[in-house]
Amino acid sequence: MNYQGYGAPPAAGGYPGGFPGQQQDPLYGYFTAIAGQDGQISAEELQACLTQANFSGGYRPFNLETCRLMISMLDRDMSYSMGFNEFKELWAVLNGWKQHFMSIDRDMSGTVDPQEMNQAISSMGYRLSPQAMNSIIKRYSSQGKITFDDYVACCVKLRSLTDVFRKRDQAQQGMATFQYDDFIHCTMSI
Amino acid sequence: MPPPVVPHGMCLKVMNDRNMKGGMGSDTNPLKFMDQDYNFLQDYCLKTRQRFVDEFFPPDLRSIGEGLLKPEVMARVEWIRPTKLYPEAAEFVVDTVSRFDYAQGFIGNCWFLASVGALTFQSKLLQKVVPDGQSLRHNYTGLFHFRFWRFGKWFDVVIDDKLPTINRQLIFVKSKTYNEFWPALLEKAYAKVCGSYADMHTGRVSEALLDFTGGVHMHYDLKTAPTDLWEIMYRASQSEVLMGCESPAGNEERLPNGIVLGHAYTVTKVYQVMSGRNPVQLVRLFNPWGDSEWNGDWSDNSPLWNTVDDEDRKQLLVSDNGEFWMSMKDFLRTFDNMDICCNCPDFLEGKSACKWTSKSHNGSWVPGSTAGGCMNHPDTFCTNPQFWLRINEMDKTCDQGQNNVLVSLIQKPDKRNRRLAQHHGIGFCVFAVPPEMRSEGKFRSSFFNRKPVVTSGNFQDARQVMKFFRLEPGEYLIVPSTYLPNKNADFILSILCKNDIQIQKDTERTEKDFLVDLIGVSESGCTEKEDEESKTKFLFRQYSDQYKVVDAEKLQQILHENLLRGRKNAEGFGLDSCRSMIAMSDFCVTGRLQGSEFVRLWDRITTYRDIFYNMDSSKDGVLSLNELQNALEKTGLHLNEDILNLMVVRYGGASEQISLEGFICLVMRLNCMASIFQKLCENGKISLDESEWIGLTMYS
Repeated sequence: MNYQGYGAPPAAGGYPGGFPGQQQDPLYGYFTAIAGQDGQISAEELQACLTQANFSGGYRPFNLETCRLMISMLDRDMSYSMGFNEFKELWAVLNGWKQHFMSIDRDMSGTVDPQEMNQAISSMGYRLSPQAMNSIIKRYSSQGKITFDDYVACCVKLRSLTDVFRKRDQAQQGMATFQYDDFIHCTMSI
Repeated sequence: MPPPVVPHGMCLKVMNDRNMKGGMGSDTNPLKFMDQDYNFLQDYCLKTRQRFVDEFFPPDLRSIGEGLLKPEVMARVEWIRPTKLYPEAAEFVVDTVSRFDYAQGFIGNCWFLASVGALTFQSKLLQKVVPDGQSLRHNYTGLFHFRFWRFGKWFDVVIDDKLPTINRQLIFVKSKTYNEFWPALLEKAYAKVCGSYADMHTGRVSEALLDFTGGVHMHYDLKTAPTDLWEIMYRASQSEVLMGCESPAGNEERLPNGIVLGHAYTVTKVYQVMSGRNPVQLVRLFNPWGDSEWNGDWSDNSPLWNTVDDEDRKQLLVSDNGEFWMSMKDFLRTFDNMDICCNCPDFLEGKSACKWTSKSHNGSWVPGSTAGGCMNHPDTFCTNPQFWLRINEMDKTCDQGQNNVLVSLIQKPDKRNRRLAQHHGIGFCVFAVPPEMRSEGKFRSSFFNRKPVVTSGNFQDARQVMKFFRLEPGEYLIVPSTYLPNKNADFILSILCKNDIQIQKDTERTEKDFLVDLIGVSESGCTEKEDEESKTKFLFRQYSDQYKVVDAEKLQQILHENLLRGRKNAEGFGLDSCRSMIAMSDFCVTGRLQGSEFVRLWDRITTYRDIFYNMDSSKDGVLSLNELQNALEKTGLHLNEDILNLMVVRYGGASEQISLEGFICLVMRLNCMASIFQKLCENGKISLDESEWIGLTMYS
């Protein structure tokens, strides 16, 4: 199996607000406006933050469920909330997905069709069987179309699930094995 | 009460794919018999320009076997290739394969040849047994291969094409077309798996029918045949099926009516004619001798054919080629038994809308350990292998009150040579397991003081016994055994069921078996449930589109207008959650729900809603951590503390409390994942490749 990732894990997090340089990051304003004193944001707060930052641009803002998935994807201390460094990583990843989506959605209709979605997923390096690909498209399309919100939800889950799979396929033999509790833990957390 | 688990569409696909890919021993990936690799040998012989000679089934007396031919006859046997018998003229197949291509030789293997006759009608089945691309001309190396299903696995069997002859005449099966050799070569391959030609002497037609299909096998004693046997045969004939029958015991003497006793015949067609104004059900049979036909009603010369119209008269046979018609009435009167082997179990009953679940397990009777003998030996019966079986509720549209379970028990031979295989008397018992007696591991002898709910009947010293019967949803124990204790043998236990089932061998059961419980519905509950179902069906019709399906948007609308209506502060079900519920409820991975799927889903939603409100002890409209734990246990689910905490964070968000919407999504997903694990797990673990993992988890 040939895995493609999305860059190295982020550097160890510093203390929010502890470094002058960090405070000059243009994203920090959005983050602190929502996060307040604890320096962590929940799914509801993330949704508000992304909406306020007008991240989706002309697209429909993210729904709460997608925001929960985003936190789950990057939350490594299992607190189910997000610090600034995780927020920065998310922003970068989201921007990549947004650029990708816009390059497919040439007419700015806000949706892509299943064939384009298929190509998009393949071009991100996922090697899935036609059956798995088909099921994903059925799961994330409405009336045969995929919105930006659904596209991001799909990408978040694919990234999380692929990460889980890779960690359990240490020998890269293409098979992952789970005990019961581990299986439930992995499948229920995203 | 929580409804039974609904199978997950993607999980069903993964299971089917695994069975089809199968790994070793499937029909598309057969094992190599005696580890001989046809492709390797073919390449080797082509490169070295050699003609293949099979050292494992050598062209000498050993392959003919003892007791078949007299010594003076045996001394005259020559092994000759078809290309030497008929230079430039020998062919593997002349025109197409047909049941009229051959006639039986010196071996009493009519049971095998009757099955070959059945096979010639079914090109798909035939291609599994006789792989394409074989020739006595192109790329000829004297090497051929055939495939047979033997005791649970498909095998690819390699042979050379040296055939036994005397005075340059084949002494076993002969082609009626002098230069056609596929029947003789197929017979040689089967002789090899039986051990020798002599080992093919005397057998039951069912044996070869099963070896050619690996399919569902049903045996019928014609004296006690079901009243709708003709309809069963007719339905079977619409599928990929092999049917054979046997005349009463005898030494192949011919009766005045033309039927040969102690002989096997092929059933080649099932047809109904109008004789005047009377419908008459007919069956067409074939004698693998290639002659000796029935001469009674509806036979080749019967005047009854003058009573039918021109269209029906086209069915009339005029050649003395071993094939003839007879009425179903005469068939039941004249023959002793028949067998049907079919890849599709739908022939078992008229309605084809239902899907059958098939499970197989291997086991062993080991003296001193698991060879407990039958129930006549109460001290040791409990040591037999035990198979725990759970039968889940069936979709009501499929349940007509008929038989729903077919259990088959096959004992494997301990010797290569078929004649030397010792068949023990075998059978099985089925016991109902009351809920309070659920346990891990084996049941002890005290459990077996009760009477079985079903048995296979008299113990038979046969290769296979089977029984078709009805079991209500619940838990059962199947105990296969030999008649006498301390008999050594391996076996295959197969269960075919219209309901969804789980089955586990006694050594494999773990606590996870009880994670997803089925709780029986009381009688009064049934009545209430039917009323509720009518309301749900009305709801479905009200919201479904012109294609009679409900999609995620419609489901969201239904939930908001019928489940959350009037509730304050309801966040509402997100569209993604509705898509998820559909993905977990639709069998065919279409992204939409049909009527029966919707009814099941709604039943579960309303059940979980009721549990939610019962558990919300503070009546504030949300569940706390403790309340969530209690509610999950009510649904039959148990989670360890870490996962439970994770669920509150994952589904509760900042408030760390679970709303009704969150609870329903959480429980449905948890049930779905637990069910997937249970269905695909082996030895307490689940192994998935990346596409399986992504497909299962993304489509949910």
